[in-house]
Parts: sequence; C-alpha cells; structure tokens
Amino acid sequence: MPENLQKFAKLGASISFETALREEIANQKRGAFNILSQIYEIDNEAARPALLKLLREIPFKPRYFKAVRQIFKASEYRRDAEVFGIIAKRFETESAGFSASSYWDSMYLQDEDGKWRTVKKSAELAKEDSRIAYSDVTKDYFRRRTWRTLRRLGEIGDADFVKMATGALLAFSDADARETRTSTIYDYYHTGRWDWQNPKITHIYWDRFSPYLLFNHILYENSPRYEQKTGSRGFRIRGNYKAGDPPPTVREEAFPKLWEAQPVGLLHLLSESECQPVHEFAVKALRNCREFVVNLDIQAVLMLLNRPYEITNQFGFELAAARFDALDPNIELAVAVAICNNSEARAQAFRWIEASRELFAKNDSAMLKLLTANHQDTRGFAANLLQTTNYSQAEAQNLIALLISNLLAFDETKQEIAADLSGAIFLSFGKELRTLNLAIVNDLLSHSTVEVQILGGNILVNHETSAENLPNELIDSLINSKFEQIRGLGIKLFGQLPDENLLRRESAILSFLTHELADVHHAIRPIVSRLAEKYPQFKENLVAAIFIELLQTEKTEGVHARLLETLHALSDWTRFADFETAKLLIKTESPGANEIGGLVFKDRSDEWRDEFTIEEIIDFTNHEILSIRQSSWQIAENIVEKLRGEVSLLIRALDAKWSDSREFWRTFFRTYLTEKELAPEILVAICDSVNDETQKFGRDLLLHYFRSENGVEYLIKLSEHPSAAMQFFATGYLETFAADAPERLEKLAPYFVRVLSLVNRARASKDRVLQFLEREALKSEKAALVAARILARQAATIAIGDKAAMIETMLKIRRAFPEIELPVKIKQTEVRANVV
Amino acid sequence: MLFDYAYRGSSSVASSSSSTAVSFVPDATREPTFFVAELRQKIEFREAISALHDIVVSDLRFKPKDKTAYKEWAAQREEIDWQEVASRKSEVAGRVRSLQDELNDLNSRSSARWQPFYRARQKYFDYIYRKQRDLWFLLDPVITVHPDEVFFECFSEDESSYGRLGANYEVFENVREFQCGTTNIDYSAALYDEFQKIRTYKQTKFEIDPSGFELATTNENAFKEVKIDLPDSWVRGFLQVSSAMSLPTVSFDLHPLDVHNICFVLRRKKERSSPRSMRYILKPGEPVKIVLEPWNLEIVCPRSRYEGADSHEIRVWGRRRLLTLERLIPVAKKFTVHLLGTGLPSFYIADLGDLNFTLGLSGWTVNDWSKAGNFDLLAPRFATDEFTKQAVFEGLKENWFETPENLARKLNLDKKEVLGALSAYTQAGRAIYDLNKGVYRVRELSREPLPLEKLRFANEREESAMRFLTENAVLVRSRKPKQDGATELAGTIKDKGKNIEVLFVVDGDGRIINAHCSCHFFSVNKLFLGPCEHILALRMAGRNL
Repeated sequence: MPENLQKFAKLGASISFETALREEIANQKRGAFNILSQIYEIDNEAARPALLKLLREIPFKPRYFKAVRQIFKASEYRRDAEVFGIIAKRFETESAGFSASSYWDSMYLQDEDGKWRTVKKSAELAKEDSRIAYSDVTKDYFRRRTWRTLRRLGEIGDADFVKMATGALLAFSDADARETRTSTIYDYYHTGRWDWQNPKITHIYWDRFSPYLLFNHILYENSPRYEQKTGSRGFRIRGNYKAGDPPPTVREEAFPKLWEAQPVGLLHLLSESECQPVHEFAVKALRNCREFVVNLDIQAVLMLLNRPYEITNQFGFELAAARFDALDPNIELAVAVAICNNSEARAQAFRWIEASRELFAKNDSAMLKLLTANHQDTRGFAANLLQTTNYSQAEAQNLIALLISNLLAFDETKQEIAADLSGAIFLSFGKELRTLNLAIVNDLLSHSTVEVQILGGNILVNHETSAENLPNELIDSLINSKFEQIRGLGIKLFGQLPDENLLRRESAILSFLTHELADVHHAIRPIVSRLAEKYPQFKENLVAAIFIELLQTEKTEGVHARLLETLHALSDWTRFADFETAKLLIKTESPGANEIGGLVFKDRSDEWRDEFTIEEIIDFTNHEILSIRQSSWQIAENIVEKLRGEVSLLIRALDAKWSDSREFWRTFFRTYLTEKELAPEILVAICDSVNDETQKFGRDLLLHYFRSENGVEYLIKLSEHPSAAMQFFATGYLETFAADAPERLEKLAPYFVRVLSLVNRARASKDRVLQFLEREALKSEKAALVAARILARQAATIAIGDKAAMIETMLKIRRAFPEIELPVKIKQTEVRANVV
Repeated sequence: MLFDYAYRGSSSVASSSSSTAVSFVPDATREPTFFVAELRQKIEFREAISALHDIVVSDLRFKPKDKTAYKEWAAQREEIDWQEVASRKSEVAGRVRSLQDELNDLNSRSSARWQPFYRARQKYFDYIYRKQRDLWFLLDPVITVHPDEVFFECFSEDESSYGRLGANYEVFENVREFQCGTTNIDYSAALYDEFQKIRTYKQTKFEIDPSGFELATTNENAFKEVKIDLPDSWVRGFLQVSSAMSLPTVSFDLHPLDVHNICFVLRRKKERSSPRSMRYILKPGEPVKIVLEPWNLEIVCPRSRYEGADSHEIRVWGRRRLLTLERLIPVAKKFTVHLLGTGLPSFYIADLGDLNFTLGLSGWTVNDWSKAGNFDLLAPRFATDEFTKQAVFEGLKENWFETPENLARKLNLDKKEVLGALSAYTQAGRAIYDLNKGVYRVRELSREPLPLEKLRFANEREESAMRFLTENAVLVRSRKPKQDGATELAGTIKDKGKNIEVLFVVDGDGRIINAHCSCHFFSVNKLFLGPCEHILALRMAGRNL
C-alpha cells in the first residue's frame, strides 16, 4: 500500500484519505483492483467512508470490476450489509460492458496504436489486463447470486438475514423508481398455425420498482400482486392489481418470521429508508410486533412522526396517541405530531395543544417549530394561538427576537412560510413592534424576500417614530422598490408626513402622480385629493402641473388616462385653466389631453364666448373626442348672435364627420336661424353637401323657405349638383321656372346632357327631361334649336326607350321647324305596287 | 420599394356658399413646384378630377366571397336534420322539438341581449374603416406643372389603370405664380367629397401651395411624414403602362355616346363565363365596331369612322375599368382610343376642351403569371450611349416638353437616337410621352431615380425569356385553335445548344391553362411557381404572329 495512504489511514482523517485514494487510483495504470481490495481489508473509520463513496460511483469497467467483484464476495463473507447492499443495487442498475454470446466469441477492440482489431472474448478475458469486463451474463449471474445469498441465510434461519436484507433495502430510494410500463405481446401462433390477422394479444404490466430483482425478492416473495416468471428479468404485476392501487393487507415479504424476530431491523429501515414501498412493508411488519412496539421509547415515536412518509407518520401518530397524557402533556411529542405529514394526526395534535394552550404558547421553541412548520394548517393554527395569547412585555420581546432572527435566516425557497410568519408576527405584536429597534427594521427591509420586506414596511408604517423623523432616503428606497406592495407602503408612509411637509414636497407628489406604475399613482391619489380639497393653492399648482404633464408626450401608456381620472375626482378644476392652455391641450396627440381640453371648454364656454373663431368651432365639431364636440355645441349655443352673421361659413358644420354633431347642427339651424339668415345661396350650399342626410335636410329647408321669386336661382344652381338625387329634385322646378324661357334653356343645356348621359340610371329624371324638352322645343324656334342640339348628341344611345323618344321628338321638331339641322333622315314609306 | 414624403400640413378644400379654395400640399422634400390660379372650367374639372379619384381607388381584382358564416349555418342545419332523423326513429321527436324550441327561444333571447354589443362593435369597425380609409391610397397622385399645362397622374390600387388629367392654362384664370416641376400631393378621401362642391357660380381658387416649401424652423411636428411601401409589381405596372404610351398605336376617335353605350352594356349585363374581352373591329373608312364577348353583342359606332389604312381586329381585356370614364361622358367632346395590340395596354383620351383625361389600361386587370408577358415593355428599344442620353434629357429639361423632331433638330442628333434616349427615360419614370399633344415631357416620378434594373423583370425567368427573344432562339412550330376559343402553341427554343420543346394552351382570355416543357425547371415545378422561361419566351414570340 502506498505510503501516504498508510499515513492517512493511520491518522483516521476520512476526507484527506479519500482525496489521497482518488489520486492514487488515477495514477495507477492497471486499475484499482489491488488497492481497493486492500482498503476493504483495512476497513477502519478513515478508510470505510471513502470506500463506500467510491463504491457508489466507480465504473463497472475493466480497470475496476475485479475489485468490485472481490469486495462484493468479501462483503458476503463478512456479512457486511452496507457494502453488500451498495454493490447489489449497482448490479441491478449498471448496464453490462459487453455481450457474451455463446456462439460468437469475437469482437472488435481498439489497440493502443489506435487501430481496431478482432479479438476472441474468451482469450481477452483470460488476460491479466483484460480490456473487457462485466458481461451481460456476469450481470445476470450476480443479480441471481445476491438473492441466493439472502435466501440461503433465510432458509437456515440465520439472524444475519435481517441485517443483510436491511442493507440491501436501504440502498434503494424513491429516486430509483421507474415509470410504470406495459409490454404488449402478440402471439400469431396461438391457434396452432400461423395466423397473422388474429394474433392473441397479452399485456404485461410493470410497476415502478419491477426491474430490481433483489428488492422484489425481499419485499414481495410471497406477494399476491407481484411475481417473477421463469426467465424474466423483473417482477411483473400479477392478477387484477393495478400499479398505484393500495397494497394488500397480507404480509408479502420473504421470511416474515425472521423479520418479526428482529423488529429493530424494521425500525432501522423506517428511520433511514427513503423508499415508499420499504416504509409500507416495515410499518405493516411492525404492526405485528406488538410487544416491541409498546415498549418503544419516545424518541423512536418522534422519529416516526418526523419521517416524510405519511404511512409512517400515521403509525407514529397511533403510537403517540396511545402514549400522550392530556394531564401531563409532553410538549415535544405534541409538537412533533403537529408538524408531521399526516393531516389527521396534525388535527389531533391541535386538539391536544388547544387543551393546554398556555403551556404551548409560552414555550418559545415549540412556537417557533409550529410557526415555521411545512404545513399551512399548522402555521395557521400557530398564528391563531400566537394572536390569542397574552404575552407579558418580556415574553413578547423574547419571542419576537427569536422569530425575527429565524425569519431573517430564511431564503427565497421558504417564501410561503416567511409570508405566514411575517403576518403572524405583525398581527400578534402590533404594540411591541411599534417600539422595535429601527436597525432591526432596516435588516428586515434589506432582506431578499419580499414577504420579509413587507413586514419591515408594515412595522415602519405603524412605528412610534413618526414619518417626519424617518430619514427621507428610507422612504424613497421604499417607494423605489421593485415590489408593488413595498412601494404602496412607502407611499403610505409618505402620506403620513405632516401636511406642511407634504406641501413642501409638491414636485415629489407630482412625480408619484405621473409615475409609470399604476400602483404608485393609485397610492398617492387619496393623499392628493385630501390636500387639494384642503389647500386651494396646492390645488391650483397641481392642476397646472397636470396640464403641463398632459401637454407632453405620454411617457408610458396609461399615465394620461390616470391623470384624467385624478382631475375628474377634483371639484371645480376647470377654473384653473386658461384659454391658451386649453387650446394647446386640444391640439396635442394624446386623447386624454384632448378630452381635458374639451371639458375645460365645455365648462367655460360662456366665459370665453368671444374668443372662438368659426373655424375653431368647426374643427371642434369634427373632433373625434366627444367632450370636444360637446364643447363646440356648448359654445355655439352661447354665441348664436355671432353665428347668425356668418352662416355661409357655418354650413360646413352640417357636414361634420360625426352623426351626433350633424344632428346638433341640424337642430341648431332649425331652431336659431330664420329666413333672414337662410338666404337662397345658403340653402343651395346646404344642398351641395355630399352627405345624404344633409342633402335631405337642405331640401327640406328649401321647401320650407321656398319663395317663387328665387325659383330660377334654385333651379340653375341645383342643376349643377353631381348627385342623381339632387338632379331629380331639380327636375321638379323645370316646369315652373324654365318653361317658356329659351335663354334659360340654353343655360340648362349642360344639365340636360348630364341627366341624359347617366348610364342605366335615373329613369324618372330622364323621362321628365325628355318630356320637358319636347314641350319646350315645339313652343319656339329658339328653344327648338337648343333641344335639337342636345337630342342630336344623345340620340346615339343604344338604350332603346330613350332613343325612340328622342327620335320621335326630333321628328316633331323637324315637322315644326324644318330648317333646323338634325341627324334624322325621313325615308318615304315604301309603297309596294300590288298594295291597293 | 419605399417612398418617403413629408407634407407641411394636409391638403384642404375650404368651401363656403360663394367660394371654394382647393389647396394641395406638395411634398416638401422635392424641388419646389407650385401653382396658384383660379379655375374657369369648373364643372369639367370637377368631373375629371372625380374620374381620377375613381381610378385611384379602383380595385377590380377578384375577391372571393366570405362564406364562413354561411358554411357555419349550413353545418348547423345539417346537424339539426340528422338529429331529427335519428329522433324520429327512437320516437322522441316531440321531446327534441320542444327542447329545440326552448333552445331557439334561448338563442333568440341571447342574441337580443348581445345586439347592443354587436351594434356598437359594428359602429366601431365603421369608424376605424373611415379613419383608416386614406391608407388605401397607395401612392398619392403626382402633379406636374409645365409651362403649357398642369397635369395630375395616378395609378390604381389593382396595378392596372393609369390616369392622367392634363389642364391647359386656359382652364385657369388669374394665374398668379407658378414654378415648373413635379411633386407628390397629399391626397385624402375627404378631398374627393369637397371636389363635389365645385360649382360654376362659386369662385374656385386652385393652388399647389407655395408655402409648403417654406422652411419650418420652430416645430418639427409641422411636417406630416408619410412612408409608403409600394410593391415592386405596382411600380413596374406603372412604368409599363406609361412607357407603353410611347409605342406606335392604332388610334381612332369615339363619340362620347359610344363610350356611354359600352358602359351601358357593361352595367346591364354580367359576364359569367369566359371570354370576357372586348373586340375592336376596325376597317378603313367604316364605322368602328365593338364586339363584347361572351354575348357577342355588337356595338356599331356610326359616328366614329376608322380612318387608318389597314384593318385590324384587336382584343382587349379588363373592360370594366372603362366604367371610370362614365362621369366624363356628358362633358367630353370625343374620346380618342389608342390600341397597342391584343392583350396589350390600351389608352382612352377624353377631350374635354382645354382639359384632357387619359385612361391607360394594362393588358389585363390582374397581372398574375398566367397572363404575364408584358415585361418587354420595359426593355430598351434603341441602344443609345450614356452621353447622348444625358444630352437629350438636358435638352428636354430646357423647355420641359418637346417633340422628338424638335429635339433632334435642336441637338443636331438623329431622331432615332433621340427616341431611344427618351424611351429609356420614360421607362425609368423620369419622362412621359403625352399622347394628346405628341410631345415628351419631363416628369420625375420619384425624388430618387427608380432602380430600373431591379424593376424590369419580376423574376430571372422573365429575364432569360427576354434573352431568348433577343437572340432569336425561339421557333414557333405550330398554332392550332382548340375548342372554346383556346389556342395551342408549340415551338422549339434553343437554350445553351440544346433544343427545348415547348407546348402550351391559352384559353379565350389569354390565360395559360395547360403547358408542357422539356426543361428541368418545368419537370420539377410544373406550373406551381409560374411558367418557365421557355414557355414565357414562346408566348411572347407567339403573340406577334
């Protein structure tokens, strides 16, 4: 054995020994065979932990496997359960190094010179420095052998069976569980001959620990739910059992009598195993060892209650319940039950504690354990207990110190517990916390978890030191926190400053009000409202500052909307605005600012009535913000007299983009304007609109205020309208105002052409025009000349009805005034000779 | 292609009962161009500018009907019917019916409750539609001020119709100040509405606002910046149509009522099957005859005689685009039609006295690959060296417009060379040919010169097809008529020493409906990525037969 290893082995320092051993193994060329075996021979307190560690991780590869094999066999001989267990489990889990097929004895291996050569496996294995090890056959052999060793011990009733089995079972944990799976087997030959269309399908179900032979042999040798079929490499599910069902009540393990004879082994399993099936087995077996169980000491019961397995907790609780004496309660026992994993047990423990609450509530360590329990119900119960107990000054201070020191030690993983504990402390010790040392509060505020910070913030808000005496930086740091709740607390604290102090910090208030985070804004708003109603000067400054903010581009979406709400909440704020500011507000891009501008104008339209131009009113009436439109209506109602004088400009308002505005202006025109203002050219201009509603409104007004002396003007002007509806409307005036007046006919000629050129439309208009032309043409030559020109142009249409009517009229003209030139040639009707 | 504009404010029309002021805001980043005058021929201008607007917004591309709602409903019906069939069998029809009634009742109540919501939502959508409407105008119209006329140009959204409204200075009175050049103007739908209010009895001021170029120093926001990402195909379409104008055409006049008659038929009838073409039958000295397919309806235009020397029969497609001329019928004195050939662009010039309106139509409404084949419109026509080109353009710029003859005389160059240079500038969008007056005019479509090399071909296959044509590598072997007006064309193309066999069938509307080619591209992609260069080349060669 190398000298430095010898030295460390003698010294008994396990860690330095391990380091030295690893170094040594790394340095050895041939492998770890000799040295590991030698160390197992020494097996003292320095060497063993290092060896166990190495055994868990060394690869089952040529350099090491010989040592593993030798140590395994030695452990069998020595009945060293721990080493036996570790290696036995690794046989189950390590995959084989190569396949030792019986009729194919050669394989490819890479030589030292880097070339691949065929070698005989048998020859290679026989070499001292073989390059292959741990074949599948070896693996199977050792898997059988581990159980064989135990079985033989059991069969002769050897007491060491329990020891060895315990070692083997402790090697397994819940982390070794696999996914449950199903194998499907198709038997195409079940009818006696090959039938590929109707195979017999069987399913094999494998449970979570099915692949581990030794494990299953120990736990389920007599089980009704698992079995190993010959030649199978695992325990499959038997009968109707389904993975995940509750285990049967019967004992399933191998050699139950041996286990009963040594129940300590079972207790050992319960205290150390991290494996659910092992706990199930051990609890079941222990229940059968009544005598042993009754005499268990209280430490063992606490151990059972503290294990993270509910079945074990339940068992422990039963034992604890039997042992608990309500008259002389065992605090440790009750607390252990109260924080165990079994909910029924916890409920019972709460009843026990409730029965003698003073005793528990005044016990600091018990309270700490309860308040920091993993289960929420326990924490809630403890918080309740804490709140309903009267502590003396000294008791309270001790408890607070203990709880806060624990709280400060928490990290992010325990957020939930920290939150509950913080809440419990804050609710229970409100009075005491008012005088808590500010240094501790600072510690709480600088903690990494938000829950602890919230406690610090809450303590600060309620602290006897008033806000004005706190350093400003402290409040600022709270307001600038990344956590919303802390920011809220900071602003709450800020709001506690005396009014004169707050009034001095106006700019800070405004910056909170225009903060990009909504919560900061919402927190400051009640303070702002309070101050604004109390101090008019503050209100004025505030409103002015909000206006300035609104005039700037919105930094973050929502800021303007929030400011809008703030303004709405104030009373009578519009009186602080001046005309120019309101105008600027309307011109900005932000809808929020626009709306404010509109509201200002609406409120003060009377005051500023003389400031608005007609163009502005029309712009407002077209605006997409309702309040601005409303303000324009308000203004209009206030300056009716002025508007009466400028009706010709006001017509555009009737064509507003918004139906509500149009509706308003129609009503306005109807109500306030009279015949005096609505001169013919105004009425025509209203009709000139492209909006159908407005056109109709114009026609209605026109009919209402119609005076025949203006008829000609109406006709001439309306005839230029491009819309078919208005053209039709104009035809109504033809008869009255254009008849018998050839010079008017001349003026209207383009109109007639326009109507007659409409493609496949305006039948009624065309008919009226054609009839009118015909009548007029026959009246005088001058008129006929005009009509002839129009008809000559239009008669080329292929619309048969129109063409026929036009030809007919032209014929009539030709008859009446033959000298007028027309594109018609009258053919003499052919008279056939034989016709009599 | 990205076009950037900066407008100082928005174009506006201020109208009152006695006057109208049309004020266009020009692109401030371009050479100052402005014009201030009063309008004299108001109604004609109103109708013409409205027609131009119709072109800007026209989109006649096929849009499939949204049938999802119907299909949902039909699926529901289907289900209900099956339920009834099943229920009759199990004799619970009555119960199902009563439940169905209850369900119907619940549905109707629920829909009644939702009604206000749906109504409000619809209102909101309408509002958005109205507010965003100006986004539809792809490229704002281009205005050019020249010493003899002011003209507006635009190109439709469906990349197929080109409109140009030229106005002599006779149209205006009191021309106060002007600066020649080309600029884009800010244009919106609201302007169209205001144009409708132009009347003879209202004084109408017309201006391309000179203050649009004044330097703004105080407020950056005074500029309205517009960035338009125009599809390459759109720009290509525009250039193709405008450069087609300078090609030799078959032209004749139509009486306004003839256009009315074409529109009349199109308004009354709806074509439901192919072919959807319009066939001009032109015989020297005889009235123009127009045959509208598929009804084979013949419109004879007795007042319009064809005066050309040879007879032609020319088919054009996309005739519904002619409906934009409707508003011009009452004000037009005549329409002059210029045809390039079957399936090629055509032009309609309305003579409105001192105004003239040109409608240019590409070969088809939809320029998808099955009808493609106008890429040679942008091919160089006569090789001219760079120096001559530059000289010709400088010469043109002197007077802003010039006939090629005058220009050749002035520069002492051969007319052929001048024409070659001018057509190159036309293709690059820097000059246009004015069909109405027969002159070339300076008109820079964009501030920066357009990347013509990038725009010339839609893909590299078109480029190679062009190469085959110029190398005379295409041999058309046969051309057979098939049933339903389809034509089969077969030919051989010499590509890198190999003979490629090509065969394809076009239907009555000139669409490729079936094709075969022995090249690699075709054997891999068939027609899924469009025709290969050989099919394209044969198609181009076959068109000229």
